[in-house]
Amino acid sequence: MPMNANFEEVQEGVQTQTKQNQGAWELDFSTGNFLWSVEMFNLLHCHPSSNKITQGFICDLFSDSEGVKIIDWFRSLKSGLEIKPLDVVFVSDANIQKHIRWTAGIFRDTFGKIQKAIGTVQDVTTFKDDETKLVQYKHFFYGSNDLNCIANVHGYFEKVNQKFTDLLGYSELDLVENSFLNFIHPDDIAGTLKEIEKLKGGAITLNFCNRYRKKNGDYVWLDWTSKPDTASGKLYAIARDITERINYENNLVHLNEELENKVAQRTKEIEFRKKYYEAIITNSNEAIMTLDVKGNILYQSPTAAKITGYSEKELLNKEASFLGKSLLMFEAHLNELKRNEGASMPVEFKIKHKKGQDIWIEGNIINRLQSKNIKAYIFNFNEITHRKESEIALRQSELKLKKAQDIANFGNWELRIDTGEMIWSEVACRIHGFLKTETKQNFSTWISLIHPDDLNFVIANIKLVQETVKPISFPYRILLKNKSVRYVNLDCFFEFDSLGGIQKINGIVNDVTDEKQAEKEMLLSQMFTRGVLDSLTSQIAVIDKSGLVKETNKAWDAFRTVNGETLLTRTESGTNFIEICKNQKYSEEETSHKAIEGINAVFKNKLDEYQYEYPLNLANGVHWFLMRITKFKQDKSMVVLSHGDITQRKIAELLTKKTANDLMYRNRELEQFAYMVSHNLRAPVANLIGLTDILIHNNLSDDKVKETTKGLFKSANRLDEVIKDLNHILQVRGHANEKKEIIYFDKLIKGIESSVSTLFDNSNLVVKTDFKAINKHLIVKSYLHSIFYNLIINSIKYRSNLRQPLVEIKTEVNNKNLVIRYKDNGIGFNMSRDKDNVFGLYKRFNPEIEGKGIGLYLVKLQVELIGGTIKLESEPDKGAEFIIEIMN
Amino acid sequence: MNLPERFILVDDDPINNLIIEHQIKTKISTDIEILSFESPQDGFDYITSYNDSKTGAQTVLFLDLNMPIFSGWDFLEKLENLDHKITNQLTIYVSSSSLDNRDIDRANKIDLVKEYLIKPLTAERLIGLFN
Repeated sequence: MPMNANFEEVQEGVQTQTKQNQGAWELDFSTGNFLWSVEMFNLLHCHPSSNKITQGFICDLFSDSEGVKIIDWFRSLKSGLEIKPLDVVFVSDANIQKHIRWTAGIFRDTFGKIQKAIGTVQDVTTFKDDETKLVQYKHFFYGSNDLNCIANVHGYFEKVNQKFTDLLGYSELDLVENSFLNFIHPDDIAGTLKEIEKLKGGAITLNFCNRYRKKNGDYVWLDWTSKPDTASGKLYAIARDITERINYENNLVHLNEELENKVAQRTKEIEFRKKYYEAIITNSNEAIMTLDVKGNILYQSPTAAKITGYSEKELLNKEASFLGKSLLMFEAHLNELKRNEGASMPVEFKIKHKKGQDIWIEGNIINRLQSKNIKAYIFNFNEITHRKESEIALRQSELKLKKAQDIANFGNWELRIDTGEMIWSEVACRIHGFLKTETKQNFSTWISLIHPDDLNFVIANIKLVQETVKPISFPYRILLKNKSVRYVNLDCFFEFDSLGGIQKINGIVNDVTDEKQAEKEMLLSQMFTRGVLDSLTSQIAVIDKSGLVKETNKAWDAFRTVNGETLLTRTESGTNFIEICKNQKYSEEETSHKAIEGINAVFKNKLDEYQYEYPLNLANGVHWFLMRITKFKQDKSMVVLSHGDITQRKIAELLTKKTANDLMYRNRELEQFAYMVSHNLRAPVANLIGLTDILIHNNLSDDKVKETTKGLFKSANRLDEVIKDLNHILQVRGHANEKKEIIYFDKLIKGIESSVSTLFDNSNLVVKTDFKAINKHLIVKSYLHSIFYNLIINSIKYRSNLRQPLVEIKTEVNNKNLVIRYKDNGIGFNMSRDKDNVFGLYKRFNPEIEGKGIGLYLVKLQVELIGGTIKLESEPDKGAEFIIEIMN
Repeated sequence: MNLPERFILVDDDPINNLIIEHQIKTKISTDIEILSFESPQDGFDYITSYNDSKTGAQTVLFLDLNMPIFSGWDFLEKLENLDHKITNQLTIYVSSSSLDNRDIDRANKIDLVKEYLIKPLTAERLIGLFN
């Protein structure tokens, strides 16, 4: 809705209308007379009647609610309270709605009492409607999303709405006080003034655009629609912010321009490229020709003309005859390429230049018959005459060189089959030990010089050549006049006559004696080395980094066959030593582990040489071996493992060690023996001397003599016992050399039980055994028997009377060693007192029990003789536990 | 002759005790009290209970070394720990069949030991002790 009315003007209009359609009335409060003018009746669409005008009459004219309002209003008038006009709605019988305004004035009598009221009734319908419109206009003007304003032709805004101030950022006052021309973009002022002139003349402005400067300096594009009131000079105008649209349009224009520029540039580029390529083709050394499907020339580049000497005119639409003899080949190529679009083929031709000289060209033919822009074969080529000539020259010089070499080492002869004539070259003569001038160049000479041992072989070969007609090459020996033997190599081939028969046999003979000699020497030296290697008794293998056994000597191989299943058995040449070692178990696990360790250490340069000694159980007993791993000097990627039997040395070593041990042991024994002699052997001797002294120096009574003699007898017996013990001990030592055998513990203990069954029965001893861990051991039987025997006798002798005697024997493994735990529940030992003497000879700890103090001494002696140790743990009256550990 | 009041013999070998007893009775005096103990413990117990020296005369102890459990060395060690009133009354001779120098030296180092006697104790040697 265009804003083309001023609401102030509407107010004025209402006032004018008020003067028409007005009626008057008078109400006398004292009499109740209500007088209406004629206009009143007209206004309210009723007729004057004879009846008095009453409240009821008035109420009938209006609706109930409006009637109540009027009655109340009159009541207020009467009370003197209300004299404001009253607006009510009147609806006529014809359903015409009117807004009716009652106004009144009050008259009082001389006493001031309200006497009557006089007033008017007006139809204010138009006024009310305009008022509503005004509110709507105001709402529209101020609330619109458009920029609404009232301006004048003098260049000022009179009113602007909030949108205006919001958009431009100025206050309403700023906008109203300054000419709007101040806010307009300088470029748009002239246009705006022109537009105002038009408006002055009464024209309506539609879609006039200009730019307004915002407070922040930016410009906004406004699209104006305005209507002038020529009388007042006011302009009612609506503007829209079209900045975005304008920007968008500007962008579009810009984009278009850009696009056009690009197209223009691209066109330029393409044109340039085209020229560029043309220039390249024209100027390049590469000759280019295009040919149609039939092989006729369509185009040739200037370079092509330069190379061939023919102008484009001379070649155009003709076959490529300039190729001369190569034309057929060329056409065959074209034919071959024909079916495959894009296929190409490198070619090299010798052609004739127009001027007649031979030239070489090298190039490429491509099938572009299907290509939209080309539809031809493209044949591009270069002249390579110069290169070709140098190549040929090189080849020729090589040939010359070869020929020169041939002259030095190779001789040749030819044998004519038909005549049997044989022609020898100078070198051939020289090789065979005579001069060319000696005229011995015939077949029989040749045959005669062949080493007799090789003659049959050579003749067989020659026959073979004649039969198969194939070239052959073979070595043989010749025996010269001076009896020297030379090795020669013969290459035979043929020349055929026109009928295909053999015309000549050509032989090229080469003296290879020196090579043969060198080869022979090499072989000999290899055989020599190999022979030396094989005659060694050590087992030797060469092993590479991956563990592969590259080479073994005879001893290594023999070791396998002689000694049965050992590590070496599984490591013949070609097997992987490291892998095999990794899988070794049981007795060879450690050796294998050490071997891998050694190989790695040597390969990693941690060691120059690795040595490891180990025992191996072979059929004929235990052998000691030394494994030596060293670098293979000729090839760093390999090591040499040598493996030698060092049993003899080892036995000597062990013997020395054993001797030293034995010596120490014997010394200790001697000391003990000396002690024994001084104490135990001497005691009965001293008694014997003492008693005889008494017998000799006294006159004794018969009784005394008897008593003394008895003492003598006793002492002599005791002396005998000690000597017997000594003998026993010495005998025990002698058992050390007895053969070891496998002893089963359970059987051994059973045997002892039955041999002393009386003692067992008397003592009620119970023996419990647990040989689950180990039940057998390779050992000297008499020792083990004696050890258990003495321990059991001890347990019986020193049993406790307080409990059932019990012995528990158990075997265990500790660090591969055999451990025997022997435990009883007897009276035990006082370890704090007797610790040092428990195993001593003739050491006794209980005077009440018969004993010589030799049992535990023997036990310890024998444990030590079989390479073991014995410990005792005991508490008085609780029992004793002997722990015997036998080293493996 | 300076004779002791009594002899105490401690030796687990009864024959040796028999020999010494006989030599004392025949070569020294038939009247001197002789107490023989095959058990060293019994001998020791007797010595510790014995404190009724009236005359101040000495008691001579012949002590064997090589005895099970309670050796002569143990015996001497225990005597050293006794009241001097008791040990002062004792003249101690170690009597052993051992010719081992280690035994002889060890015995001579003990103050209580008067002399190391090598068995057998002959009459001659016995008389020599008290002259």
